[in-house]
Amino acid sequence: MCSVFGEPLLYFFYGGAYYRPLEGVTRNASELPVAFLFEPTILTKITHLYPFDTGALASGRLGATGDRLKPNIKSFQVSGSDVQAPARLVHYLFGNNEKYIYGQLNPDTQTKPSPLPELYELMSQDLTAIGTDHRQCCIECQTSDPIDFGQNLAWLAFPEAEFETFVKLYRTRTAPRMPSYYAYRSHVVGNPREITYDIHQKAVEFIRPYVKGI
Amino acid sequence: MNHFLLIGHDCPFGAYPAPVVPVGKLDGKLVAVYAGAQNATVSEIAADSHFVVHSPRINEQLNEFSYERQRLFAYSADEVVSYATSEEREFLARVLDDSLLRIEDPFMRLALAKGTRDASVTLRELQACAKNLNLSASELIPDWYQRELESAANAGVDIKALPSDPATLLESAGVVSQKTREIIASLIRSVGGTNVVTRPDLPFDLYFEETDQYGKLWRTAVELELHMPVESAIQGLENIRQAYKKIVDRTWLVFNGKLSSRAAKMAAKHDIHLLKLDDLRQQAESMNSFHCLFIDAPQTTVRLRPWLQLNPRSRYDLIRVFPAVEHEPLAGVTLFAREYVGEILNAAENPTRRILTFDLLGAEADFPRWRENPLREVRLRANAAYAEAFGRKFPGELPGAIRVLIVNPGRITKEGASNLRSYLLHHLELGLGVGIMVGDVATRIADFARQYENICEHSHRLAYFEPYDFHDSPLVHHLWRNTALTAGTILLNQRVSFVLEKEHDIDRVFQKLQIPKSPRRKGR
Repeated sequence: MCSVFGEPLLYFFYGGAYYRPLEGVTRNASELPVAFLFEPTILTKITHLYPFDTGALASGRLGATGDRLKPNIKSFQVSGSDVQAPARLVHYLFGNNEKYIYGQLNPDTQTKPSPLPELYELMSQDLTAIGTDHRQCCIECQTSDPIDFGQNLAWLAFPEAEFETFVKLYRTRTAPRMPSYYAYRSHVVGNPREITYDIHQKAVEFIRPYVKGI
Repeated sequence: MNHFLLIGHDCPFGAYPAPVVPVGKLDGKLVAVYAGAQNATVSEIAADSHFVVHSPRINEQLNEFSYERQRLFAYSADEVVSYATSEEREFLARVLDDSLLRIEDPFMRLALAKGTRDASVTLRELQACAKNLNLSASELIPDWYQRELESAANAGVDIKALPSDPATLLESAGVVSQKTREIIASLIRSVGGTNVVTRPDLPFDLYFEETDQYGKLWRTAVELELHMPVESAIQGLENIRQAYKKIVDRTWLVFNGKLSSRAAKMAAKHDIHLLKLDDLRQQAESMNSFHCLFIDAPQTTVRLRPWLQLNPRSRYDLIRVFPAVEHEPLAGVTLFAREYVGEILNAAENPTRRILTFDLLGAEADFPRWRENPLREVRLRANAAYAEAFGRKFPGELPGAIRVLIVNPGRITKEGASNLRSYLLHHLELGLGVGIMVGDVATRIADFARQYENICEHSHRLAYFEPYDFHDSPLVHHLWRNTALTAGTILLNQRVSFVLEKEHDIDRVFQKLQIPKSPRRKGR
């Protein structure tokens, strides 16, 4: 159940792997991050998009601008019925996918009609002091429909010691299709934030060949 | 220096033994301590976070724990040890060697092994993982191993000491190589699994389908486990079998070495059919011991070929039935001669194994006519041509064409015996091997011939020299298998009851079989 919208929702980020340390669904003292990248085909199942991490906004982690926009959060909602919607958001806010991946905003956005200048302001804040990372520049996709791993999972990252779990996932969900993967080292338990940064880099490497032509 | 009070740990792997995250109080805040490449990193966690609170005993044991210089490893929630970060490599090596508190998960072991940076330790665990994957998802191995080599190199392991490719890794782990897999696939084809293939989408080494004589399709998965103890192999296979039971009806396990009664019971319990490699090889050798097998029956001549002589992908032409009855004077002979003789003469160009013929035409009523029967002479002359070619290629061997006469001694008259004697002599004159077979095996061959004739009578495909596809008629598939197996056993084990090499052997055999005495022909 989503605490922000009060309904059962699945969340995805468009084009990246991001760490959400305080919005986890467990109360475990430590975590080993796992990331999934899905094929663009799941865009057909996305019901809504937001040009920011709604969880971060709701928890006040998107700075003063975020706090100002928070009461009108639903006004930033974009219908997901159009599979081109995220591409259009990327176009207006960043210019192209590559710039979106690296969080490079399009300055022209400031002179565009509302709410694009507000979003520019939100995304261009320096929030490193409060521990907010790249999530202020990511597009959130939501759906209430279940997503099938078998047809849609393109890539995943997990601790290498959990390879048996990956094999199980492959055999029970995705076979004969084998998703690509990144198994990070886990002879010790590293900091999830550092691991996620590493995962994000690997995810970007994976999607880079697809990014340029879009 | 900030004071850290260790109060517990969290195990994000969800299972022990495993590296764990120290949880404690630092400057009054609840924190989790993560391992870093250089230094530990501390992360504040919620006050109501879930973690294992250490017992007073563990607290006592770890009261000197330094979050900056040490790390934790837990064998269980209540069995936690610390080690110095500077001695991590040695510690992990000891953990992996610990047989009492053994870590079972091969991939956890591999993760720890890379942490030792020791190539031999890493290789040992890579082999264990490769074996595991070979059982569960062998198609993942090539990609997995490539990534593991990169990972090992990044971890500081000398990868020059590791196998450079997955095939070599598997070989070093004693896992069946592709070549061995192909050889065993050929053996299984030889003994009747004619359409055996590898299926990348299935976690089994081989797969084939066959329809039984009642028309039921059996989908059979074959797992090759030539180096692992059978019991362990069955345990590993059982999980996969359960996962794929909707698309696999039968599971075979080809093994090597000894079979314990416990393993046999386990296999029976899990409905896994055990097949010893030596037995499979022996059976295949037996069924491939002849170049062609003919059964001369009253209405037809059946020709069987063993699988290995054919294109491995072909299931055709393992069997043909030549109608050997003269529907019209001479027409039958012409047609028969063209096809039958043509096949044998083609084979004579490059003889490999013997031609074996079971002659069921030995009824006492027939022998009087053998000289006048042109089909008989056609058969004998063709066989003689092959035997001559075989003798040239393999001098000193037994005759390359052996004909075994199936007789019923109790029904042979004196006149029939006389004709049988002359018929046998004629074989010897032509340089053919000849034998007489009586008893159960002879009855079985006769029964096979009757079945072929019955099928021929009711099948359009089997008649008039058309190649035969086993998918059309599973019954004939079974018949082919049984016939080839019986013939191979006879040929290899020399179980032909009485082999005749010289004229005086005939009298000895006649006497033993109580065939009525017949006067010797003058001049013999």
